[in-house]
Amino acid sequence: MKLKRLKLTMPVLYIFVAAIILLALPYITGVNSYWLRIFVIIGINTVMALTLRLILLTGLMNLAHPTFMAIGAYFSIFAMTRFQLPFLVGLIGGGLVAGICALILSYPFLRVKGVYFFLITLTFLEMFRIAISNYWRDWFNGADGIYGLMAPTIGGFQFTSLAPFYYLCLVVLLITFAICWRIEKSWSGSVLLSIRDADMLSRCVGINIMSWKAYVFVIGCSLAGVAGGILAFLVGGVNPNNFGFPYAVDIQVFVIVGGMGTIWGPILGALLFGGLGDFLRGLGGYALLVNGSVLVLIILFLPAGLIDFPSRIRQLIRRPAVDAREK
Amino acid sequence: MVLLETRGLTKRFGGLTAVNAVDLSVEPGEVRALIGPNGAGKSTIFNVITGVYKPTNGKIFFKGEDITGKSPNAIATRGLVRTFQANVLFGTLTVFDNIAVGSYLARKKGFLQNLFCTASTRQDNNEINKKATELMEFLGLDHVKDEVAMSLPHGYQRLLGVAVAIACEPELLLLDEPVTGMTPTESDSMIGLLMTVRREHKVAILIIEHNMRAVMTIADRITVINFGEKIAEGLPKEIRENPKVIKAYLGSGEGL
Amino acid sequence: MDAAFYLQMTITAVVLSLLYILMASGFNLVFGIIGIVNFAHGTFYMLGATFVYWFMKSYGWSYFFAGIASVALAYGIGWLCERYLMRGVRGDILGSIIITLGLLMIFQSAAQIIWGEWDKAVPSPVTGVINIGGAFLPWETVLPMVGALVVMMLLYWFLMYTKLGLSLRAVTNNREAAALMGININFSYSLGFAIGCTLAAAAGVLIAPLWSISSTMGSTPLWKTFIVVILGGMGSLPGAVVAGILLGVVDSFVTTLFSSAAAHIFGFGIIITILVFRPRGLMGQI
Repeated sequence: MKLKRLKLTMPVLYIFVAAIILLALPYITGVNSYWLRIFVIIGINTVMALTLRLILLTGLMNLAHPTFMAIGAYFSIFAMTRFQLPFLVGLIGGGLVAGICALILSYPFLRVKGVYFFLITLTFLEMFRIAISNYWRDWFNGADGIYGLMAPTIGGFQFTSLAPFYYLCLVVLLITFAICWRIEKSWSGSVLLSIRDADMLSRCVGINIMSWKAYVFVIGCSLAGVAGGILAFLVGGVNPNNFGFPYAVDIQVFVIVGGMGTIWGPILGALLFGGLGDFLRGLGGYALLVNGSVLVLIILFLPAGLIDFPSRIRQLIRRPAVDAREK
Repeated sequence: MVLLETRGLTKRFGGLTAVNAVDLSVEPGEVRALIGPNGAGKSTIFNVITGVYKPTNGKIFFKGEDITGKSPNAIATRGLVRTFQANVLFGTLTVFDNIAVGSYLARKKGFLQNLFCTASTRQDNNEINKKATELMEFLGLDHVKDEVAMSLPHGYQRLLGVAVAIACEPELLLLDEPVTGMTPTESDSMIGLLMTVRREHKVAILIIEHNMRAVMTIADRITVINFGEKIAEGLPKEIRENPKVIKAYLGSGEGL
Repeated sequence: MDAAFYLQMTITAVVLSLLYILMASGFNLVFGIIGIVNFAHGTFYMLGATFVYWFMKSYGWSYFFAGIASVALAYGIGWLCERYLMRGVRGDILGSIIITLGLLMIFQSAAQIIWGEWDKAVPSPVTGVINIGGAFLPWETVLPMVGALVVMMLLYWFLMYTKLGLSLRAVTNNREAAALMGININFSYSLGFAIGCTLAAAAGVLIAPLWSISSTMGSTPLWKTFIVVILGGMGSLPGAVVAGILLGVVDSFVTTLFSSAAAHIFGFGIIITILVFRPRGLMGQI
């Protein structure tokens, strides 16, 4: 009885400590510090990685994920600057609009699978970027983007430091995590994986795969839209090149290098690689080389992602001992 | 009322007529075998009935309703479930999860109701868990229930394929060569199971099989297909003695 | 609009068509044989052009010699990549996309680091014009056309009339049966991939004297390759030819009459339309 209570408190203790750290982080790093900004960016990237993976559970690699982030970002910007709506309304509205776009695109896009889906979303990503870079200049301002955004306010409280951004991002991240966790751990998760593994069998046992694919596609893209809104105001502006092919690859790297197999993989991936933006920029031309090399090495040696690293090591350590015994 | 009926079912692929004006019917609770040489069009008939292909001509009725051209999931929701000739399973899922996905149908709940997991669906989940466990024990799969489907040996994969279909609690089960590749012991066991399922759950079965012993044991009536056309139909005894059938198929030396 | 204008557009169309056919054939060869998508295909095009420039500038070789060496080098790199990097992702389309994306990043950045600062212009091996029926075509433009045709004919001869080519076609058709017949599958995969990359590099070599070279020059040809391959049908070589010609003509006209951005968007439109309404393209099987 006593031992059981001890066992129960260990994970609870970890969670407790983690929660304290998460909540107090802005005051540990300083409310306007460089590091806090990195953590917020990591948080945003984690939302993107988690939602990309959610869609990936059905076997669909959505390369247009940054596009939905962009839709949310631009909408929340327009909501505040042109329609004088409160920030929170714009933020949530951005998520909704991104979700509606995803819903509309569901019908043409979700009919194709595998590499075709990859290509169609890649095409959409590029089309969107080129379109907003060259047309409707009075709204999007072309490739220069929109900058000089004012600090947002929620209910009279103005975002004077990075701390409110951090807490807002944390809330969105926790909501995203909760949604992804719930979907995956429930029997819905099995349904999604069944679509990935054998979609014809899935249909023949009564599962409407279009509806299920649309379900995660819309949810994933809506959350990406909300993340976009936060990013826009955190940085103070956006331009179309933030949402192009390089960023799409980045999110993929978070998910795949972190590990597609569990919900912790994208979190690890975003944690390790999501804050590296500035660092990589400092490397100049070598950034791409490093990025590419990491990708190739992971696929070659740790295809299940970095999250698999501990168990792989354990496997490697165990084997020599077994051989020795058999002799 | 007849459970399944096809009228003049025809399927053409370009210039090739795979199924030609086939009339087939299955009564509730009946076991009907569909036999014929390889390439006769039996699996194509299955594919058309279950909505995987759209028929070029003809109609399909299930429980009196015209299901011609409906999508596979719509047909499955109405109580018509199939297995596949190849080992089609949810490869990365465990045996238990495979069966749990199959029992989606048994829940008889709409898509939207499954979106959010609330307390009521938790009760559902317990019910599903119970049913899945019972099914696994009944079929002899419970000792591998946490094994990943693609790592199972062939016989177990076949068994799991049938288990997933049974978990849907269908009224009509379409089985595509369920005992192919099994040892005689395994196939006897499978046939015995199917007969129990049919008796206890009042499921009708339409089975494609090449194993004549299995067919003669389980079938109430047999339909013989060759070159996409029905060449004979009747009781097992009649089919055994039908000269056209013997010429087309049984004459190859299969034990009767 | 006078005759010269139309002539110019036609020449551009022919050059583009041949270029696209070369690229798409290489891509479809790899997809057909191994079942993977090579995202680094455009990078091999870039490497082909870059190597020609490098050999000519650093070693003073002639264009023809540098071209052959460049293609051979690309062949070798392609072979090594398949042999050592791509074994694990055979048939796994998503995995192959990721790993070839990684290769794209490595090659592009390596090219930028090694040759980035150099002023890259490849002198044309030929000068002057040729008179065809009253129209004057610069040799400079005719050479790539002739070269591309030669390469295509070589490829056709190889695939149809040699034992090796037959073995590759067999593997594309039915991998297991081919293996049972004694065809070495590993060798075929490496060969197929290497040839695919070589075709891209050859396109780069032929275009090098005409256009400028940069480390990112592979991205537009990669897009064009996708458009051609999707339009013609993934894995289909005849489809690559037909779609290559179609796109070459369309691109030439749209770019000349409107702008290259418009041609870009038009190309995207083609991809989306085909993928939504007829994913297998004009001549594909899936």
